[in-house]
Amino acid sequence: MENFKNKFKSALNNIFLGKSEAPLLLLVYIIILVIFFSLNNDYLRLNNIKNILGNLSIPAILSVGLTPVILSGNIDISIGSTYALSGIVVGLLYRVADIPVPVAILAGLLIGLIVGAINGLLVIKIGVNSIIATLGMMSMIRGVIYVIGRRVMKIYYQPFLNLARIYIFEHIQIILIYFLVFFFIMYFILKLTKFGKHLYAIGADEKIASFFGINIRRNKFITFLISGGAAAIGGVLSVSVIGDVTVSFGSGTLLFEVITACILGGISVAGGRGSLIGVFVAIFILGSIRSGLVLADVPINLRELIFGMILILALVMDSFRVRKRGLSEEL
Amino acid sequence: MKIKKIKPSIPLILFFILIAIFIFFSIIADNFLTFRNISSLLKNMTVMGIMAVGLTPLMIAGRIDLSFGANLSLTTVFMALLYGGSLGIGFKEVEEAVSSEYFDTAGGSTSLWLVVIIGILIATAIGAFNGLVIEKIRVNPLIFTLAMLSVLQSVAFVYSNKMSIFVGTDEVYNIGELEFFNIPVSIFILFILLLIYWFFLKFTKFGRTIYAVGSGAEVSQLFGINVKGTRIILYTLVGFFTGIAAIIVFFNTGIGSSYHGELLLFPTLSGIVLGGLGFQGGKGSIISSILGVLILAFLVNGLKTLGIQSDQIQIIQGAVFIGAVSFYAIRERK
Repeated sequence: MENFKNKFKSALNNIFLGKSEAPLLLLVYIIILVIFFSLNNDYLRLNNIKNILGNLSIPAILSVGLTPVILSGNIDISIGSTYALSGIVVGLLYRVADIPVPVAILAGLLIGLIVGAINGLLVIKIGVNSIIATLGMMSMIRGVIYVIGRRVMKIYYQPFLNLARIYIFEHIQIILIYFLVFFFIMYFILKLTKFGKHLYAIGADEKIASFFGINIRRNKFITFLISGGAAAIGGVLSVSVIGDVTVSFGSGTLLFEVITACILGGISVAGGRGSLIGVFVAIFILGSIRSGLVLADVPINLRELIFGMILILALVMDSFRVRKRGLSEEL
Repeated sequence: MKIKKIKPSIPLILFFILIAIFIFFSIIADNFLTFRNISSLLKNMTVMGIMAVGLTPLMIAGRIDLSFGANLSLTTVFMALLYGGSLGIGFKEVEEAVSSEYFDTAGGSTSLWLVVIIGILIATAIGAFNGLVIEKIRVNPLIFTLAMLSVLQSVAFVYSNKMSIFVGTDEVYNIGELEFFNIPVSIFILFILLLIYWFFLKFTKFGRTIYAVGSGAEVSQLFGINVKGTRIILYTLVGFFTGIAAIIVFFNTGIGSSYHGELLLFPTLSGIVLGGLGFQGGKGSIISSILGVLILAFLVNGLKTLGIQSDQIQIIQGAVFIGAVSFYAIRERK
């Protein structure tokens, strides 16, 4: 209990003494809110806020799921297609194979874990670079989606639709609750369990981590399971929100939004550094920017361009941070 | 006494695989071994081949670039806009222009030669930009070029409103269909570039420094090699080769489209990966890369003539990619 109190105190210290990115991000966030509000007064209306929160909830789940992977020094760019595949599987099983919805949902989630396991195998057992492995998987999964998903699958089953569409206390969408629950679980795992600390250690310096007896392979494998599972959860929830599944489910921009949220939130690409709190704020920032741009009538192509540039900005910021800490002497 | 294990040379293995595939499909598929099919196959693969040639030295030096596809798309879009006479500054203008039948007319306001030169300049500049940011600011190359992919693609979308810009005039097609001895000019271009680069890599000092940089960057730096400068040059060259590929696509299709590159990115990467180009660096050769691209091209084409649909082919492509990377990763470990 004492230990916990101390840790809580030091966490507060970190946030307010400027050791984490969260305060700076918060400041940026407030500035952004002000700017967009001045451009369009509808921005801070309850309706729009609900809109923003609803739209960011599912990508947020994926970002939280991706964070452990990046922390331990890898990356998973197949999450977009895993997300889509899970949705398609649920749709197929329910509409085409007439399998009861709960079973279909379980199957969808299982698919996410399977993909995560394959990614883990490729990266850890076979030794392929994680971006290459997940790039290959992404491509293959897309092909699978096109082959099996070539039909529109509308879902009318109300309980399933309710899974993601109901509101708590009249205004809070349940997917937001799902995200918050997932976020707190992950935060707890990363900050307060041995597993979480091992991940940070592995990301920071693998050799020393293994020297201390940390099972690098197993831990890294688990991170891929997490990212695959989170992507699957997102996919299933998305199907419930949208109500049907087609081949174009989960297009390209999702992946970049998720990655941008992680990196903007301070999760260093070099691994071993960054906090979920930063990711949390980054998620809100990105969601708010998106909504603000839409309300300011910025055309969609330009919006995508802006988000791409935000990612680049986040990457550059990250590399400056890494250099300042002297972590990257490599050529 | 150590017994030296003889490792069969990769290019040789690849060559045999290529022959095997060729023979296989010639027997199995009726329409495979026709002049029309093979020449169309070769024509399609030259673009990937050229980009593979440009990409190989960069990867030997231990770096990667995933944005070359989007680079190509963007270049073709700009070339089409320049040639068709409308490089709108405001996005509304471009929207209106592209949505009307504006480009479906003959000729353009910019001379074709100028368009070609500007195209190469744009593509090369993008490559140089990549190199400078990655080497000077030291961002993670993989994720940065992934981000650039998104950015370049977005810019292409902005300027083309996600549509294809058709500028297929007689002028364009005449050049696109040029042939020497019945073989399209693009194949000659590929061949020449291949020879030059291969010679360069194998026999010049700079070529050898590329291998050195890929095998051991710190050590090379200690020996006085300008590692960063080398890599920046190689990134620029990737841009340059992508520019040439973009020009060929432009003349072949007469279309500037933000989708050209997307379709080419993964097959090109798969071909390179088949050729054993490690993402770690230090290993690889242009011959292997080209053989890899050829194998993939023949495989995909052969499957198509057998009637297998594109979606299923994509799965196979993905599987080949994963299989090749795994194979070489395991081999590396031993």
